[in-house]
Amino acid sequence: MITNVSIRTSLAGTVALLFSATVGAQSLPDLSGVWQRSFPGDSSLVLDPPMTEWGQERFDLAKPMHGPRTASATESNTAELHCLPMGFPATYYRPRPFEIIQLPDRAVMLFEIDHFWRVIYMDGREFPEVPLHTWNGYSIGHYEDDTLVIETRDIIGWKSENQQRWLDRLGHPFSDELRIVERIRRVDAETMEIEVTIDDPVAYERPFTGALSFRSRDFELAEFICQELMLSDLPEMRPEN
Amino acid sequence: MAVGHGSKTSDIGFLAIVSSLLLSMAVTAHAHHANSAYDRTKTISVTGTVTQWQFINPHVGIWLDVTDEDGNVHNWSGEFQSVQDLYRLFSWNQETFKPGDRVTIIGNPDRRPGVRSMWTEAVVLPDGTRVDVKNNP
Repeated sequence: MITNVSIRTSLAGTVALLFSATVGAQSLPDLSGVWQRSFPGDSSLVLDPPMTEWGQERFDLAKPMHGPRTASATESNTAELHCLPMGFPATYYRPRPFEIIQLPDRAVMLFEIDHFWRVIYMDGREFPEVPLHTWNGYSIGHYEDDTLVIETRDIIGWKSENQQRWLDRLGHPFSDELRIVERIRRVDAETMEIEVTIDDPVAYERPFTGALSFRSRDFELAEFICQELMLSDLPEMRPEN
Repeated sequence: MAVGHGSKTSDIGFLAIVSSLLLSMAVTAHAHHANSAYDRTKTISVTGTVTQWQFINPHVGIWLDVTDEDGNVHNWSGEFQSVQDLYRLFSWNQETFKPGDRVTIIGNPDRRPGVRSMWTEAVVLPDGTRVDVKNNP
């Protein structure tokens, strides 16, 4: 029996094959492959973003494990300690690799950390009329010359002192109104850059932009399950140890 | 290198990686969250018998029974980077250490009084090979 799902899957597969055969002819940028953040790297897009009063209040409550306000695992309130998804662009600051797969109607990012994926829809759709806020948001994209441009909205924002949501590893908060634009391009064969523009009128007085650099890796993604944290007997992994 | 299934080629790769990592360590000394719990100005070394090897994420751990000068046995732990880093760089896996193995761990001690733990910088394997593991991926 052929179900709707199997028909759609096989069509997508066929289109993908056609696409891969024509990528060269159309000169679409090839961003495919495994990428990992370059080290040493910064822990935020900009060190001193223009926070609103709302943003500053929440920044003051943050106890990050990086940067000038570094707290220990027993003191910090970063979402990383709970293995919660960090959203974007914060996920990029984790030192774990990810893979980009380009298909004709979407790009897919596969993240080693927690085996999660991110779909960037490129079929001309708009954002949902009724937003469903999620940990990693809703992303649509398009190509501009050598650049993949991604806009992401509907990311679950800062909720409480116990549910911190940061743009980075330094504790800069974001709200449900956050909109991110990423411009991804290959700088050279070994290097990819993602320029990120943050637009969150609740947390920041004006949009600001920063860039992250990634290097090409020649290994395959593995499995990294953050929740193994709950099994760790190391005294610094869990405050109760 | 007598680690995992190392080869001549991977030895060269390993040396190159360690060299570049050493150069970057000064900058990245505080880049990792776990480091803040450890006193990076101090380096200690303990030798003992492996009681546990926990090859899990986000950070791998090893535990040793260490006998002090007075004959008292204390259990020490050493924290490492992630599973994938140790696997990719050194071909380490869940079989690398077994209870009873005699090893030395060298690293930065926990800041908290009475907590016998360290951020591991190097390990001397049962066969005497020293592996520098203070890396960033």
